Amino acid sequence: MKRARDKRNRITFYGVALFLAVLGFAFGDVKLAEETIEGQTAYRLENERVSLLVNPAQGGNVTSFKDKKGGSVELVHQVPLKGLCMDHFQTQRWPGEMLAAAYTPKVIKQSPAECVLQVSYEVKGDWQSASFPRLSGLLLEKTYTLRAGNPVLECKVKFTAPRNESKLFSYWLQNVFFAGGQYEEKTDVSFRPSIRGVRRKTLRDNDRYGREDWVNDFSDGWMALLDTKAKTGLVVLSDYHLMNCSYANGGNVSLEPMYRIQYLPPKGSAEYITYIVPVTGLDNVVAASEDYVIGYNMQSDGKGSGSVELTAVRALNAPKKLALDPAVVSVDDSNQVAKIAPVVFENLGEAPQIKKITFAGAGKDPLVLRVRTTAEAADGKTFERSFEDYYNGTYAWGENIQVDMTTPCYVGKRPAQEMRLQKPEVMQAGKGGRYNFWYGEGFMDNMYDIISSIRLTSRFNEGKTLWQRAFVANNGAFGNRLSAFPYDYDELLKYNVIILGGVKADALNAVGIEMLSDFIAAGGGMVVLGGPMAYSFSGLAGTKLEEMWPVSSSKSPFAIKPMGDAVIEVAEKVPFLQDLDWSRAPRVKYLHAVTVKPWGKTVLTVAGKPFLVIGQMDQNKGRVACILGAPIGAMDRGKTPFWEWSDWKYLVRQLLWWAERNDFNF
Amino acid sequence: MNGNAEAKLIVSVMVLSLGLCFMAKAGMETVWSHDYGTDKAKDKANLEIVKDKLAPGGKALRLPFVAGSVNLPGCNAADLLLAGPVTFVAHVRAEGLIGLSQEFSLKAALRDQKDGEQYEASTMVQVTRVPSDKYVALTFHVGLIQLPAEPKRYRLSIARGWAGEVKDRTPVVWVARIEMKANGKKAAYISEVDPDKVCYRPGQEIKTRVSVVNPTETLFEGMVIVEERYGLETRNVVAKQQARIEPGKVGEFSFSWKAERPEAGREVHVTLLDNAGNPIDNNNAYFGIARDPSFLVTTGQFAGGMYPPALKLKSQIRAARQMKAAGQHRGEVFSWSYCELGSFMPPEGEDPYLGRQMPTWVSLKGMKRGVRLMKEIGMTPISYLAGPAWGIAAYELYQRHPEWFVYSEGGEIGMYDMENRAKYMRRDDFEFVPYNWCLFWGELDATNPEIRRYIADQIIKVAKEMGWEGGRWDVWNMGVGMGSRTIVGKLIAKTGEEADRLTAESLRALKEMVAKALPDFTWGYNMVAPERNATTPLTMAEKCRGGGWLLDETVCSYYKKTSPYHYWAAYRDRIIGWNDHCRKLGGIYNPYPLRRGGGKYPVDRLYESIICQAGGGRYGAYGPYENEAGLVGRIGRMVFRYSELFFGWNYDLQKEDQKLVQVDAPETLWWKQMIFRNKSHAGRPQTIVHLVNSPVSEEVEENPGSLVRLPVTNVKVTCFKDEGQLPQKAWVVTAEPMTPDGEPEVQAVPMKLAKEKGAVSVTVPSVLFWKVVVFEY
Repeated sequence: MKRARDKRNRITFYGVALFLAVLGFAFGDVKLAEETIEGQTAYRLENERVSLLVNPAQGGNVTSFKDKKGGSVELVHQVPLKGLCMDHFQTQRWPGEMLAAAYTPKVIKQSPAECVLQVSYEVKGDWQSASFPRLSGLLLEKTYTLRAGNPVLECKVKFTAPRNESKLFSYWLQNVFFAGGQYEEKTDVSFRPSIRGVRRKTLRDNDRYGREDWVNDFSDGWMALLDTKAKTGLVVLSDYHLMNCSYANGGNVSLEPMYRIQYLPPKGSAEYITYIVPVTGLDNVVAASEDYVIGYNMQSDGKGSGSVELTAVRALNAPKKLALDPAVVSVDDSNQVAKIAPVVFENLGEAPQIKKITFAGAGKDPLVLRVRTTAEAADGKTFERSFEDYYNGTYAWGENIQVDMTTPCYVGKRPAQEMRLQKPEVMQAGKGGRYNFWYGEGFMDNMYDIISSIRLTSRFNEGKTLWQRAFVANNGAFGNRLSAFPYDYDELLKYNVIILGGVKADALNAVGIEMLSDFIAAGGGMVVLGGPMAYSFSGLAGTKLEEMWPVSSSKSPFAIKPMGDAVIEVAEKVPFLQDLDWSRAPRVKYLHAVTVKPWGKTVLTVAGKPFLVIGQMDQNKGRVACILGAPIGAMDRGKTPFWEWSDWKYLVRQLLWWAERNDFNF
Repeated sequence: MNGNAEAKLIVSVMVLSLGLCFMAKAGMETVWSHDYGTDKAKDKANLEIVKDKLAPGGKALRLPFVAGSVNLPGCNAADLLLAGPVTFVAHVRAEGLIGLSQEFSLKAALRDQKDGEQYEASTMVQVTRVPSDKYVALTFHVGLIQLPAEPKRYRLSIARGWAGEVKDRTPVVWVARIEMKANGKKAAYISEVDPDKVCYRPGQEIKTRVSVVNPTETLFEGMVIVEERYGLETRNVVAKQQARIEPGKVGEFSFSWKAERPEAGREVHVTLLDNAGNPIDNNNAYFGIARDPSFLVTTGQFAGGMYPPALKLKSQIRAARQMKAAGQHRGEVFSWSYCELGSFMPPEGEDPYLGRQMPTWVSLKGMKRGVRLMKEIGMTPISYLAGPAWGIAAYELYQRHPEWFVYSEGGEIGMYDMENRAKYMRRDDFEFVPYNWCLFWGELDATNPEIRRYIADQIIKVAKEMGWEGGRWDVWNMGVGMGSRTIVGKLIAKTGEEADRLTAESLRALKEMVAKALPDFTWGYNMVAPERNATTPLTMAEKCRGGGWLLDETVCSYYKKTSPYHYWAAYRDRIIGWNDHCRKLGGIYNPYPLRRGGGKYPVDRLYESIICQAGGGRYGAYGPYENEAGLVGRIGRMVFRYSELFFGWNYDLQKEDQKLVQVDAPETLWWKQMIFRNKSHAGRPQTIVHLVNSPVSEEVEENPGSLVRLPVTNVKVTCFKDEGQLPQKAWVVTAEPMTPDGEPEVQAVPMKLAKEKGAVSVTVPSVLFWKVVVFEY
């Protein structure tokens, strides 16, 4: 039945191609025309490859999309709230205020070579009885560009903050469609790159990882959804550096880049560019970029020999030459690499080109295919990229997973994401008043009883005092995360002191690290807690944040020493040590080994090693105190661990006062 | 309710459980019937009574495929006075059914009119047994109803069920007549044989209660003789008692004798003699004798009804009844504890406690009761041991002893979630909602003697307080990972070889520590597949040593096309070969079913079961595929009854090019890869040949209709001399009928040996699915 339909589709395609050739599309023109949909004006953009409709009355979405080489079938199911390039905020309950909102259209350019249509919307910040003041007033401008002789639809979404107000938002672009024109739960397959290999998902194939709607360890900005039977579908190219998550919904009918939370200062703007690439002739996608979309089929004998068939089509650009330099690597032994002679695709176009290569000496399955790509444009410029995929082969467990049922047997390296942070023009911490604390609680930090210390600092003043606590979770192979973080500079700068427990670098991520260093640079105080995941264990050594601390630690973990229950001693009498009862002789079992910076002052020591170091990089920057003991390890009866010392909470209380420059308390 | 009162309740309920053979007994008579040849009922609810020349009465109930369940007209009755075993026979023919597909079933229910208790029996109608051109009498095989010994009044209903998807065919079943058979009033009969346990340790007292009903109007005087049967030939009379039962009364007879080796599955066979010494009835039940009941597992291993949070007294009693009726020996309870190695037991007085991997409120009292119930019926209760230390107790252990835990190269420890910890601390709030994953887990450094002592003490404590008789490790078992480090970064094992050696050493040391306090404590493990143990031979050997239970979970993924073992032939050789390896190292191999619950189609589950058990494995997790209606028979029961042929430590797989046996059969009959040398309980050498009518499809899960091959007939099996000796005896051990027109029955049929030059042979009349030929020297 499907075969007959495919045949009909092919016949239809050839018929349409002939018709269009007669009409003039063969000359490569692109056209923009108005249409009336339910009394509203919509805009049809069409070239020799695609025909699509943008409906400003429906969120400025693409409500119809046909790929003429893919059989000219309608990819957008004609029911409400389906389409391409649909706007949504992660903070609003779906569908959110924008998905069906009326946008204002404006034709920017209409020429045979290029048509540009813009739709715009001012965010209200109200949705389903909830108010979102940090969103209201944002200006959204969505610009579609379709070019002659180019299969790709460009969609540029720009958000601009009002003149006098900063904004904070998390953008979510939704593309909901049926690959191949109709929904097939088994053969409609999504492909998304991750550090565990390309995640292929159908509605039914959930397997041991669960549904994997959300891929958080994505390794590139593309996503694809193909009808693997008809070998047609769409690839969505997004900006990897802005993405937070690669989402494909449970029913497998969508490709949805979810973007990182974005702070915009007044007048600031952020732009999200998406390319919608129609493809035919591919039944899978292993890599995609502005230059190419590549699929592959790999075979191995399980002992290190095999073949790889690579299929490539153009994307936004049509490279004059695309060179692929592949290697096949054993997962078990990364030194066992089968190098393969490069393959070159000439004049990459919309018709798939196929190259087959063989390999030997890669070691037993599972394997990883790694490919370096060099695309040469018509003007001779070259662009280098790389991609990889995990290949299970005959590995007995059957997929990229160990028998412990949670750990992947292969995890690659995730390319660093550029931050492109937007910041307030002037930054000054503590704008919210006094005694505002943000506390990131890591592993074992509860032993510090920070909450009591905070309670001792001041009376909680409802509506004014800001105390926030976030938690660290470490989820094995998938790393560390924080339950919350003040990504809003306006909020961050309201705090006086950040208490940073065992919050590792991957929990903060590059944005958090940058923002915390900004916080200290803006005069905010910080108290860094020692613990089993702190300092050398934290991955923060050598970062911009650690630069602001009075100590530096080893970049390798395990720089922690057993101290044999040594007693804490006062190395330098400073005001905040007042009124503490040292007669209980608080002791330390484990101590982080650090280097004290020249501007750091060691206040307390244990067996001659620094236990508490304070410092201020310069007068304009915040004060930082580093507690270097870890609240772990049992001690003999009669000995007092420092975290159980009755005055410990007072010491920390006074340290918090010091860090927020409340010197009048001493 | 105090412990004793509760225990009595259990025992009284246990009266209802039995493992009787499913054949209608000779003394049974038809006590109720419905014949559609004489039925005057009108059509209703898709049930039409049609003329049918093939039906004995000229009419039959025509039941075309309509998904769902519907009561059959004419099959309702009330005030039926019944006691003891009851079964049903349906006279049926069918059209359009395929293979072993589970499409059509008949289910009979008898409800006690006074207390509402319901008893059920059912059967499938399958093309392997039921033709289209004639009616056959089909006994309800699943759940022969064992009513209480005391006669009571019951209400009857019978329903049909159609299930599955039917494409391109229109299956129809015709029912001409249905009969209910029970003991009538003509003669005394044995209504029940009830050993109090499913398994006894050598030296324990076996207590068996026998109930005899005298339904006649005259005094019954006679004799009850109790025989214990095991192996191919052993039949020992273990007890006798004179019986004198007043008219209309039930006589209760208690027997006891001492459990003695060998370790084997057994049948207790009871004969009732009249005053003249003539046998007038017999009945039976099954039990095992083994030091570790896991040795005799043939019916699954998980104590489903004992899992938290469903720990209600009533449901636990029901679960125990079901497990006893099924003859289940091993009762493993998954993830029940407070914090695993952090502390299995909750803090003193904390009941309920928040435990398990996905935190759940658990009743400590309920858990203890479940363990006790399993022990009362002779099962061995086994605690799941996840391996890592987790939960709040482990978190606190870490705080005290960070040096006891291992760290990754990057300095990371297992996993933790501080938000969950904060939530846990508020668990006493009424509004508290358990979070969905534990708050901490970490692995301990098994090489440290102090930690070994700690782990041993944990296990000893939980075994003593809860009553567990064994533990089955899951994701970690004193393992030392290459590259793992101490808190100060010291590598614990530099190489894979060192890691293997240290793991084996640590495991052995722990077992020895526990054995000093609990000599009979048993051990089980996961991760025992050859793929997982290519570089860990010492660890694998230690896991096997001393009867280690080896749960091979890797097998469950073999259904995938990416697995080389998704071909039946490869699967067979992998399972049987590794089973042999494990057994020779002293382990009990338990390959997990495909997809965990068994392959996609009935035929997949059938061949998984055959392959596992023919290789001497214990088929997990929920027992083998058995099907009397389709003539497969009760293959698990067969393996249990003749356990010496499957589970013996001398069971020795022969190479495919062996010279001991030749079978004249088509290539589709498997035998070459399934020949074993063995020794009987008496120490006599045996050669065992499994004859398996192979799957139609070469690949697993590629036979959605569960089609099967036609029976292979007249299979000549020739056995040559072994160590200069020719076999003296031979048997065919089977659960299926000896010939396709027979009834399935677990039996060992002595075969006449035909002597040839330097060899002897037997001719097996037919192989439907699986028969076992045993030559004894």
